[in-house]
Amino acid sequence: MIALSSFTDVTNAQQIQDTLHEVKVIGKQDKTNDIRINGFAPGQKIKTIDSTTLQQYRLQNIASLLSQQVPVFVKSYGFNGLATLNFRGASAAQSQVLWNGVPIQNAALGIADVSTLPVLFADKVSVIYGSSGALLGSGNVGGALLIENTLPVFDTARTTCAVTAAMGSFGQYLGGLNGSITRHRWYFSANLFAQTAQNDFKYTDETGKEKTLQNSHLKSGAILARAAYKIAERNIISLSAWYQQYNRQIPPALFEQASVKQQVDGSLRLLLDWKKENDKSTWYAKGAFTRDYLHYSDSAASIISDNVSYQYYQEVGWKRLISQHSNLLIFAPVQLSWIDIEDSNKIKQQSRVALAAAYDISFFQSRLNIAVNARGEVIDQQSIFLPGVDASYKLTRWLNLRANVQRTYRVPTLNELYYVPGGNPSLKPEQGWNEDAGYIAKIKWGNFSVYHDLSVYNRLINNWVIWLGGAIWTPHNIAAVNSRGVETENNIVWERGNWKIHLGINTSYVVATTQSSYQPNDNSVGKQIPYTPLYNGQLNFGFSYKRLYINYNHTYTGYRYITSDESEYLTPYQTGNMQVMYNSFLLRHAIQVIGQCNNLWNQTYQVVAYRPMPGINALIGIKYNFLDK
Amino acid sequence: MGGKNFKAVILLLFICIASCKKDKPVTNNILPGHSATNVYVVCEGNYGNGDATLYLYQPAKDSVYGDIYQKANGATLGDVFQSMQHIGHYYFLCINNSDKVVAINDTNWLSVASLSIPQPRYILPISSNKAYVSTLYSKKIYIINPEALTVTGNITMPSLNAESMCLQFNNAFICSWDTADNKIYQVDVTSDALIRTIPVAGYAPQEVLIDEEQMLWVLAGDQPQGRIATFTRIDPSTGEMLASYTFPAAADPLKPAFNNTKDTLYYIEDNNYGGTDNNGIYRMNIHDAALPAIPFIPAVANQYFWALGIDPATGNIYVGDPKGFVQRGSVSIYKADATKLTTFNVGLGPGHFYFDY
Repeated sequence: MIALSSFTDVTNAQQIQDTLHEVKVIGKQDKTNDIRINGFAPGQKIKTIDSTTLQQYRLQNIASLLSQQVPVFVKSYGFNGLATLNFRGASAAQSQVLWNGVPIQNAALGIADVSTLPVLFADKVSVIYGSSGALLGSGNVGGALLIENTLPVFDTARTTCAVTAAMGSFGQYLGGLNGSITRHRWYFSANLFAQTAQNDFKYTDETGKEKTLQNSHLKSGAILARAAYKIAERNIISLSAWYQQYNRQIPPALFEQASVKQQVDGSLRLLLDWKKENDKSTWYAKGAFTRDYLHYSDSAASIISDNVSYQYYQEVGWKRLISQHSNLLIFAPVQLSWIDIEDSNKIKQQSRVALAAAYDISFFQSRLNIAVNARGEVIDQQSIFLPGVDASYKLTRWLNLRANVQRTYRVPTLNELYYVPGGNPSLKPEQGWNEDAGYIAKIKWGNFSVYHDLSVYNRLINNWVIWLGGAIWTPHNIAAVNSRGVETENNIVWERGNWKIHLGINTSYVVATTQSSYQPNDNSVGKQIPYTPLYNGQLNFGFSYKRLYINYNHTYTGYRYITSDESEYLTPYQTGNMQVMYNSFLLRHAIQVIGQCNNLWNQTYQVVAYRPMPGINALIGIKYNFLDK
Repeated sequence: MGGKNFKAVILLLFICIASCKKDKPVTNNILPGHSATNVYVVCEGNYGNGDATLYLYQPAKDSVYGDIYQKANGATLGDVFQSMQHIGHYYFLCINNSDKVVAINDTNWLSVASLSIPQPRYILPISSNKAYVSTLYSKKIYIINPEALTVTGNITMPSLNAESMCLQFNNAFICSWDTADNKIYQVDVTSDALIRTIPVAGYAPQEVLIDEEQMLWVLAGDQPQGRIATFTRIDPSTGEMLASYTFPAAADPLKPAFNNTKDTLYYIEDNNYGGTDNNGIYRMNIHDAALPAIPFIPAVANQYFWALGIDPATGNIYVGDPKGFVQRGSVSIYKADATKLTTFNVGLGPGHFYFDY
């Protein structure tokens, strides 16, 4: 018990610098740090991954985390391959990914490959369901993924260093090193991550022949360095730099005899962040620069392409406590994206300058909370207005209701407008409205805690962009698409002494259909949008006892149509996955062992047509805090 | 909770479950019967999705049969079904992005062989035991033996992307769809030797056909890559350019086909951007002095055509609409006066018709 409590102290003290939070495994579900969402979106469904779950997946990428733990569809082109998000039937380009509040989708493509985001670099991961265009800007249609790093603290002089090493099936090896130094007003931290994987798993082709996946090697490396300086109490400036490179071979699809395709994704992200708070006001400013490099080659087809895209983002904001029950936030984001068009000296750019305000007020002893949000945005020469209103109401001690209405708007990406060949400069923006509502019921009954969250939503988008073509693919504003559905998140926890048993079930039902189309004789009207499963769900069942945590995860993904007229489809699949985590000491240093076994039942399945996924596979890793003083 | 409320909740749950959309699709597995007249529809599929299909339309029965390869063999064809040929007792199917030529039996569509050839495009039958296969991204023409179902050799061409081919006596005339090339190549099919290069009016020759006067028509161009399209009429005996026609810069012509008397040339112009300019089926007489200004069968806004074939028996015009390659395409049949006779759905990306009469 003495050992346990001392270890708890050590690890509790690490909460800021480190993701190893507790020795007695208790999932913490902190709110996002994003000032726009945290306080001005009371009616929005936001899911923050608890710290225990985050630790379980620290050896994997965000794509694996989300596909097993959150009812969004992750469109994965294979093990460690490209993976994009589909929130509530929205396309990848309609789903935002933000790092510490800054959009990090590829500026040209408008999408983020979440398989290249290591969980190891995220201290907090949250998912915002539905649009919040007024707060997060145009482009936020289906939802957003927030990846955040914890804020530095300067209370005591402190130095930490930990090493993570893991190995797994198919020649997977990965290592990480993270450390931090706090001295007086300064804070420095660095995270390094390297990975190599052969990904040479066996699969069965259409003729029933067993084959080994070829041309599937992955090598990646990443570094995230941060420096922060405390100017005064509650007045901090920080600089973060994130560089990563993923070198991936692209394996053949089932219909290909072989593949020599290769891809290199390199990203540089720099973020300067300042925040000053006092009792009534918060000032903040951030400026970020991102450069994404994408190299693709296929020597069999004599294709070599290099694309570089850039983005500058800045935001200045002021939050003011107007009264005991109301807050005001005013902020001004500016986003500039540009690309070099290959084989020409032309630079194409897109600018967005916005002024946004959010006002939050609560009534009846804070039982009713209403937020009104509005954003005026100038995109190149075009002005738009994005209003939104959301509210929550605590009906009883255990039941909380919420509702949210937002205007949505997405301008075409630089790629959609200018890609050669096929870009369509006359493409119109997608626009529409998003409405959602739901409730949370939290009941504590003896040793049981019950959590139940239900959301219903409806979204109608006009001028939905669809890529059409044969030899040349071109985006068109063909359709109006109506997405509606129901999501639930359900958890039952039984806790007694050192024991904690949990059962969680997440479900998602998405009907995203083409409402109307400009295309003659279009058979997609009334049909489900491709790669949007109607049914999707996850189950988690497990326990923690003192330092041990064991979880069984089961996922179900329903039929996915792969054509817009529902004429072709992929069959549903289920995967069973097991996570084991154990915290201990070695020479008085904290040590954490993590084991993962994925696709436990060795299911044959495809997430994307003709891209085989691996059978049963495992990954085991250890994190050792060898310096902590 | 009272009994009434409990019943109400159960009823509500039942209504919710019943109102959920069923996600399991419906399939059918009917194979066609035999007919003297078969029009095969080569459906490319959506590039990268591996959903190429072979459809069959039997005009005598006005019946359409879908995905007959899959139904006969229980397997999918592969990715990008480019073209097909009937030689001997087999149909040979070029599955471009699956790097194979699949041979199927011409009576029951059962697969008999798969010839491994990189990026096959078109097959030129030369004799019962010899055929050429053109290929994309390489300079190679592969030689196959359609009886023995083997690859017997290859010919190295001067340029990349061997594409359309035609045969006249012992000479094969071959296009190389290379934006740096403005010639077609004459190969002696007995020796497989390149014996002559013939200049054409434009770059990137892609299609070659023979008219009723035994003259060659060559369609060249690659509009998306900035190569303006041209037609060139050539006397194959001398290599002389008899006539040439230059398309507007925005025009993207493709899939030329002659009528059954080979005096009228039909072709498609594609507008991929949703407009109606340079979009539809065009036709011209082989002695016309200029290209037609307006389409004979116009495409409407947000539509373009991808397949064109002229029924050698009736002269009816078959037109394939790929509907963007993201859903099943359709085929419409028109009489020679452009009166529409019928429309039916086919697989993804109808790209060619093969009249097996």
